Amino acid sequence: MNIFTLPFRNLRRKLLRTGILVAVFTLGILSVVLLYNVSRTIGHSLEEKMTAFGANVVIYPKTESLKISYGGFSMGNLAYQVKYLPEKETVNAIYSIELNKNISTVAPKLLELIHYKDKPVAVIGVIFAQEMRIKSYWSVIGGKPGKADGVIAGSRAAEHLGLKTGEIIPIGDKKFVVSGVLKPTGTEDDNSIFADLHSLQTAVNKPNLINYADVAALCAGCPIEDIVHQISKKLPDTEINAMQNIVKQRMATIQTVQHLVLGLGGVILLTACFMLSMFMLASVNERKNEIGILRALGYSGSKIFIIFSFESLIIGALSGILGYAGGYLGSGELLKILSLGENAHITFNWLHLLITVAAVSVLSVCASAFPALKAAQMRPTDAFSRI
Amino acid sequence: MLNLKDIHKTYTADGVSSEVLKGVSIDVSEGEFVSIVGKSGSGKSTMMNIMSTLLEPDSGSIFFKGRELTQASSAEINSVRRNDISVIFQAYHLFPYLTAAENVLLPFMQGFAPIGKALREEAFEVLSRVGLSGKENRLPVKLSGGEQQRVAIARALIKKPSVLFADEPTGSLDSKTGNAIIDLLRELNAAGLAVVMVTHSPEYAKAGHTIVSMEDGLVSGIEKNAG
Ligand SMILES: Nc1ncnc2c1ncn2[C@@H]1O[C@H](COP(=O)(O)OP(=O)(O)O)[C@@H](O)[C@H]1O
Ligand SMILES: [Mg+2]
Repeated sequence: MNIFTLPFRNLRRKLLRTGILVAVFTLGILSVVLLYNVSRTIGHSLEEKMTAFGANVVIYPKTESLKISYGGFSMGNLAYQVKYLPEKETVNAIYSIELNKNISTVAPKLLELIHYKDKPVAVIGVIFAQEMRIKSYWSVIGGKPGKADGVIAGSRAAEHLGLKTGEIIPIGDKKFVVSGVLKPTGTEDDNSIFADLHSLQTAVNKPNLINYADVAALCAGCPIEDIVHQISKKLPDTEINAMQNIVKQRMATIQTVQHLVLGLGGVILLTACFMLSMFMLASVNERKNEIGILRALGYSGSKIFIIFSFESLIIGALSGILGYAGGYLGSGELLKILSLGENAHITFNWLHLLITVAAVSVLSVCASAFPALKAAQMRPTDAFSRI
Repeated sequence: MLNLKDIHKTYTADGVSSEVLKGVSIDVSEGEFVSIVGKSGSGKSTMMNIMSTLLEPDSGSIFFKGRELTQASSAEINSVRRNDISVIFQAYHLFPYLTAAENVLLPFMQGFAPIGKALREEAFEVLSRVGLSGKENRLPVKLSGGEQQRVAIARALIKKPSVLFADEPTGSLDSKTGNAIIDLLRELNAAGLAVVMVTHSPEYAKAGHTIVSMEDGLVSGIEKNAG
């Protein structure tokens, strides 16, 4: 038995009151945790889906010169000297940044100009699996390249060169086969031919070389600037271009959803605080006698404050644990119901639990500060002089 | 040991002020039993609360063991309440959700350190001294009025105070139980504890070495009781 005996006994004695308060607080925290987790996951999968409409970071070799092209019209390059990046090292470096969880896709590319049927055409070496992830708008007539020597032709390139599925195109010292033709995309892709990166590298004898890499980064929870900064630290000799407008637009959508959700949780928590404050005030009035006796026994005002605050603290801490655990379990279930489970990024995090419990405890103590202060300032005779 | 001089106290309730104590002086020596008698509303409880530090006077001085309490800090007052003086009331003011022994240990529940075995044994001992052996673990509802007052007395005794204030301790008890409580107070006084008791009953007042009569906020007589 010590100073905490009284608050514990009171919590136990007023089990219904304690239960109601814990329930409401738990509900508030649970909804914040639940909604936050779910919205984050939905945010992630939403962003992942948006990633399919293009990369948001481009990494290419540092050049001294300006690119002279605008709106797809190339006007040549003044000091034309092609630089390359090493493929493996670049890709590995990107995946090794601290925020690598946010790297969704890395799509390295090698560009090669060839002549076919006496006409010039650009061949783009890509890793098809990666490329498809950032170009969900691709739709192939015929088949996707099943083998390493398969190529896909852009719609205009196919028309211009009269390409058909099964046609053989020699590139460098290898022969490639047209496996399919892209439906028109309205992008530069229409004018090019896509080959497997590694096959192209071997064919034109540029092993492990790429011209640039497209990166799709997920920006929920971190600014794109951080990602760019971390990549540039790993790859000092590259130019990194973040497409700010794409990023900002994606982030705005996700943040609106999250703000809405946190606002709602906040309202529930505020209600819980208000209830705690009211219950505590009633409790202080009801226990005037006890406070008077304690003061008469030499308890200081601050001890009285501790006794009442501790009661709220326990309610807060208990709700924090229940709310976090409930929110964690609940979000898993909810995501399963929403069939977003496979994208779930929910992990039970002891630190978050600790932070939640601490934050809710502080919140509940603050909520009951007024009644506790009132109790602390009560004089012994307030309780029994008028009997 | 306790000397109050020229105590004044005015209450203001609903805009109406009334002077309840109009210059009261009372002295209590070490080991003395003082009874305070007087009609209802004469200011006995108010005086008692001021003597036991529960209420501050508007003017006058209170010397307790040579210390001027009206000048004391709240920390000093708390220390006096913790160590030197105890109060019991007509209403026993037990905590209904604590057992008899736990109620007795209340004065020691202000710290963060848990109460040790020695103190818990002490609580049982004090309870047996007031005649409650075997009832240590009962809740107050399972005790009679007289027994509840005994628990309150035990709670007052455990800190070994030098003075016990009792405001109409028999007020809620039948005469037989009341007599027993007075006997207990007498016994404790005989063992060296100073007692200040407010009572309606002239019979009970005779327990005191000194009987102070109050009337309309003033001391109207002091009678020394040889027996
Ligand atoms: N807290 C208070 N506020 C206002 N008036 C009070 C208060 N306490 C007591 N009184 C009044 O002071 C007078 C003396 O009360 P009290 O000291 O309790 O007398 P007694 O104990 O002798 O009956 C009574 O008229 C009572 O109504
Ligand atoms: Mg009275």
